[in-house]
Amino acid sequence: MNKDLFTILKELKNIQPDAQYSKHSLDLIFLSKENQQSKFIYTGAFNWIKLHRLSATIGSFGILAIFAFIIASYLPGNKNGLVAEANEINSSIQIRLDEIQYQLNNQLISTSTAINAQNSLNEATKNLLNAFEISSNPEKIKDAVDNIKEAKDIIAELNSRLKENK
Amino acid sequence: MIDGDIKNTIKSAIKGEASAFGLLYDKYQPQIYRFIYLKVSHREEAEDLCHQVFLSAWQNIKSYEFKGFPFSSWLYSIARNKVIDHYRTKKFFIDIETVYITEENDKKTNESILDFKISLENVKKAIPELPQIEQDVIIMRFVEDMSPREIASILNKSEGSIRLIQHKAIKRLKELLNNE
Repeated sequence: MNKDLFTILKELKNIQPDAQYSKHSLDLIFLSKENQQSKFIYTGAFNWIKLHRLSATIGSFGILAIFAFIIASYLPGNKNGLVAEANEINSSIQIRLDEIQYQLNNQLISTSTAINAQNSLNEATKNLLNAFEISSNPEKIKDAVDNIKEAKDIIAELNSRLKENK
Repeated sequence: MIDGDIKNTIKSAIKGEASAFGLLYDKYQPQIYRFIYLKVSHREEAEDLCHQVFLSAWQNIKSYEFKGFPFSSWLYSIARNKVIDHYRTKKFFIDIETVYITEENDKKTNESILDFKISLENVKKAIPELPQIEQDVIIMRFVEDMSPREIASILNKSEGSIRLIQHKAIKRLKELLNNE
């Protein structure tokens, strides 16, 4: 058992930090010395890490919402037109999210930009979650589509803001 | 980097050369990250704390003095303090990865009990349950393969007490694994 335990402990040496995180963290460290604004940069790094995961989560919620829509379309009184519309909007959301991920990977963002982006992504998530929750009810499909549209607008606006920030 | 190179790189970093600090970062960041990750058991928190460690190191590198100990001992000291501060301000956190592991483990009840108990994930989960000093010794001695002398210098203890802590830590770790 001793041997097994020590072998396993040695295997833990394979734990490695994410390469992208490591690079970005070092960039922010150097920037902090240039600007002498450590608090600002620290918060920026913290938000950067959260933002990446938040935008990835939204992608998942979008897919979940569409999945619920497809199920709903088999229920009596289905509204296939709305389901198709929701699907199209969701595709647009995925494209915008990819662009946002690209922006986050290729620029250093300030704390205020990071907080605003985080708020926007949270708002978009709420809308998509709501769409997911109500979309199983065929009577509420229109409301769910409105939620998805709202999420799309929020994400498109965030994408524009990040592009301007470059 | 060999020893002489490291000393020169440290000297250059103290003078403010970012590229030199970058080399030190590349060399030491993975082990400091691992040290923190195994203590907090949460990837995002480990990333955040590791960032703070190197930010602090870069901002205070002028105060670093070579006292015969490896540069990593200075980084480990910063990391230990950051983790202690982290636990002072945040006591409880459920890691989604840990929840996943627990669920996975439940599914494995039909598999060999011994294999299950001694699995990598179980050891990862057990390490943070040890007292802080035992966590440090286990990680440095058996994960990072550091000598008792080196660990003693980092933790500011004698080699004898490091060996004693190591013995207690292994015993406690086995008990934790057997009790799961």
